[in-house]
Amino acid sequence: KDYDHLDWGLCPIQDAVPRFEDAGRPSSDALNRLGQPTDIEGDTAEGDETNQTFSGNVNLHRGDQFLGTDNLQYNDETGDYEASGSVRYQDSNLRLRAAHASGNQESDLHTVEDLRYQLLSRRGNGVANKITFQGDLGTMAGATYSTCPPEERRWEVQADEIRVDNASGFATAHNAKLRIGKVPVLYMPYFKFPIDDRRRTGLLYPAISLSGRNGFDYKQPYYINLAPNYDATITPRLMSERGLAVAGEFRWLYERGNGIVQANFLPNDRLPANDPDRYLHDDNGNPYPEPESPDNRGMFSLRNFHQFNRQWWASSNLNWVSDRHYLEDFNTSRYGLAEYMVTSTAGLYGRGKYWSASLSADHYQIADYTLTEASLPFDRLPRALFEYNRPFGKFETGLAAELVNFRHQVYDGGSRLDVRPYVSMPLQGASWFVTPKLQYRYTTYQIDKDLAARLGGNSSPSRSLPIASLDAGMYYDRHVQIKGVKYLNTLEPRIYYLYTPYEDQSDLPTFDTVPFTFSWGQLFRDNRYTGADRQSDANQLTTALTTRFISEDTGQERLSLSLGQIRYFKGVQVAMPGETPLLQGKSAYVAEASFAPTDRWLVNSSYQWDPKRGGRDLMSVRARYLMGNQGVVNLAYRHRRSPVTSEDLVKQADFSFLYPINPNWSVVGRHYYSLLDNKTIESLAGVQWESCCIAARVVARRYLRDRSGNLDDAINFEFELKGLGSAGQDTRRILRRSILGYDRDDLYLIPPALNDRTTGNDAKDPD
Amino acid sequence: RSSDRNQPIDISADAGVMEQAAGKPSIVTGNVVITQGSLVINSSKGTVYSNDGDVSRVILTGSPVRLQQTQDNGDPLTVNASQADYNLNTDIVVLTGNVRISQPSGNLSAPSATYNMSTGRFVSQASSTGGRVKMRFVPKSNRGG
Amino acid sequence: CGFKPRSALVLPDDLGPVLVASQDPNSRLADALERRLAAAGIPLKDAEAGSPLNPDPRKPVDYTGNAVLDLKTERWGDLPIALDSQGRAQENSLRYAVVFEVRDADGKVTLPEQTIELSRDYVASPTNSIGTEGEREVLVREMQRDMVSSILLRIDTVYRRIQAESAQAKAKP
Repeated sequence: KDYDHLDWGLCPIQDAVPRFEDAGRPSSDALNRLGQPTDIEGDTAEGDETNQTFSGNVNLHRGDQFLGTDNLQYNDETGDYEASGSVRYQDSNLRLRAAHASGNQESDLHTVEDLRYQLLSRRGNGVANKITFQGDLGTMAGATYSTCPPEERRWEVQADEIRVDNASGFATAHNAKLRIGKVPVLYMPYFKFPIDDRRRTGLLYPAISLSGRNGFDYKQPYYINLAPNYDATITPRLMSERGLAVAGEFRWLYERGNGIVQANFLPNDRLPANDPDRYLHDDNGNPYPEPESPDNRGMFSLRNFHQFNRQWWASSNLNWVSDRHYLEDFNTSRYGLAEYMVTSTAGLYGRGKYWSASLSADHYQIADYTLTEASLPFDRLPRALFEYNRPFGKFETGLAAELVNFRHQVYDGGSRLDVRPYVSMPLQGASWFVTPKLQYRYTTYQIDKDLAARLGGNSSPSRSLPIASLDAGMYYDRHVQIKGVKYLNTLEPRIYYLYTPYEDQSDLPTFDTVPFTFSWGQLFRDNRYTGADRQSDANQLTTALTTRFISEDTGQERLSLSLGQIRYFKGVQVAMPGETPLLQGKSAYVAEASFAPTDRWLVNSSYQWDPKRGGRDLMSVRARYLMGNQGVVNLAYRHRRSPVTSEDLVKQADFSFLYPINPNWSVVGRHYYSLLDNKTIESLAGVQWESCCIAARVVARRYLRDRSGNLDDAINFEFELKGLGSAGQDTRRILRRSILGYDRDDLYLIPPALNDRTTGNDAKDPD
Repeated sequence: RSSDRNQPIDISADAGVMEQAAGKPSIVTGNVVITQGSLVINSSKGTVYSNDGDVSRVILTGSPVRLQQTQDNGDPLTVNASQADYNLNTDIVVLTGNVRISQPSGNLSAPSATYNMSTGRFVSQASSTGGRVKMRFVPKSNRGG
Repeated sequence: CGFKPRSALVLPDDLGPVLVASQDPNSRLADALERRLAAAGIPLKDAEAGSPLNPDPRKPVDYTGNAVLDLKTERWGDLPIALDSQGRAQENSLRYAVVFEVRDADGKVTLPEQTIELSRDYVASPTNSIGTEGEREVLVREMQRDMVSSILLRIDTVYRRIQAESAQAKAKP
């Protein structure tokens, strides 16, 4: 988890101790300042060969150090100096003003009395009776520390002693008192806090929070920079209501690949004991399937990638959780309760000029206590894929073959071989393309005895049928000008004809096959099902039209409208068990629109209207407006009807916003309502106040606490002392989940600020 | 060195006007070189006050007057100035006109300075026109020969 | 109404053979782009020789010497867009974003770095998640084909404007 960088935008430009203009440019950095000559300048100088006394606007420069004073005694032999009278000192770590300073240039040891200081790395500043520092280490006696500007002292740490270590980037305060406004809030005998953003071995940003479930929750990550290409983070986490958990993460990068291992372990978690029936039945009393009472909780995840050579690589993404309450009790997933199963995949993949192949294995683990293994997909142990396509003059031939052995904890499994040789003639010009394609699909099974018995007795059923398709389209362009902006307006008609004979497939199992979500993509697919268990018969023609408006100077698509429909010349007979077959005639109209007139506005909508059954199958609108450089308003309406049974599946409205009233005050809100069950899924309202060095958030929230579906009210209160730490639940994470765009980076898959090469590609190509 | 003081003083120049009368200085001009032990002073004009062979005061001008001496610790000392007024009785030299004193441990530049040859003490002032006194100290680690 | 069939994609002839480089050595998008560029008659330079096996993201590979269509970053992401009454995701939006840039032989950026993001929604019912993985795999393939067309259309549009402007500039006395 990277540091969340702090936003000092609201702070006055002027530092607590402003830069000394006459300091000039440093002639070296702090490290080799000892080798630099010492230049001293003044109105008068007096002394002998070894002892000099300067007076009158004296300036001393050495490497990155600058010392301004009224008068200065300097002994060239011993290196001792004594400065008095409006002393000003600056180096690459700090800046200070004082009455008196003395020290030794040879040993680089300095003592300053009665000073006001400013740390350069993170706006930390304050006053102190005395500071002695040597190189990167400094000790302040009777000192104060805050990141607030002097004239707006919102919070301050007062301590008998503050030790500053610029090398490790941490300061340690002894018998420190934290004062917010005028009110002393906290006494800490020993308190360590970061004074810069650099990541080096050492304690990272502690996270302190308070919640009913975990009690006092203190996470202290410790970062170990083992080597330039591997490092680790160990995070002990004390939860007063539950016990001590330890999380670890180890990352490595080497010439041929990289990887990351993450683990978390909480031995005998007291939460199940504190609230036992939470694990047995929901609030309305109906018991959960396969209830469990976990005590040792934990999770494990390994992701790695290794490139053998130019063609072959291996990758794995293995995950395990200890029990089905884990995701909720540790709310680790970014999408809150949305995840309900944990997937593990590992495989060997290869690709060449005309072929690609893979041998992989998948395993699913249920991670939701209201579901059972029955709702899990089949494990594929293993799955072998081979694809070959090769152009021959105007033609292109090849085949796609898949051999899978399906296993399931509940259902009977079996293995399936699916081979699809094809020949096609992809003809294309700049403004047109025509691709006739003829495929022959042969699929055969070896299935377990009693599954075969249920499907008609044949334990090695098979199916083979030809699939013919013709995909053709044209591209027309013209230049138009709207409100002074030049657009390239395209018109793209496209047709897709598909013919597949009918073959009875009721004796075939359904391991990984369900109907596709009916969508724009479905108009041009050669099968209505996601897997090989069903190959839909078809005699249909798709007609579709797309028009785009592309801004000519940026090339960005400002508007795209698409409309398409399938005409079934004959009723479809292949159906999944319990699926009503498709009737002859026209399919639903599919319309999709995406409208982004400026970088602030974005409206996406898709619409499906079924003329045969009448009415809408899908109506979804998502609009987003960006205000200023922080505000955002999201509005979404989604109504989806089952294309088969016509009963409503989803009917939801979602309105969320972050509205900045002025640079300090902003209000947040969300109302996510399900019109189908007329029930709120989540609603929250909050106020945020932020100034240069302190931020406070109050968020009232009604949300789905758990699977039982009843709502829980919570008031989250968070106080953030910028640069020191935050107290209260981490409301920022909740707000980022509830309001898309609360953190502008979440709007983009690749945040603009981050898309330099260093981010690499962490989501490996999934297939 | 301090032992220079009791060494004989030799003065050589292209031209010289010797004055015997007391109180009247003799003037030497053109490539004036004064040596006394390890002390060597080059200048373009020298006004020498002496009575019956005892030199009491020398005023030298040059562009610049260059004074070189080896100090007791063996380090060379070089002093440049546009005018040097050397009073042999008080052993004090008053230097004016962008004075530069340099020695291995560092150098000094100032509009004017007074330098006591025997104690090695010097005092230098900024001039009213803003010329500042500047000194550079080279760390022991990389002091040259 | 002014529509004319699209004319061929043409890159400035001084661009020379184009090398399609990718941060991910096994990128399907890079292969597909190479095939479409070759079909459009654009001379290509084989990227295999130069690029290292597992390019260290921190050290960008130096491609100067040839014109480069640099696929800097490809990223996939699933975002739940509808929760069911128990709060489980029942509909996801699969997002695919690519950051790319075009540089000419001596490294000058001719098409500034830009991002294209596509997204497709798919139902993923929690109580019966059989087949969801299959649908997602098909969506991945389809979105990769769409991305190729979007990138080529973006390059075509911007280069057409650059050429129109330079032609205009030359036309002025």
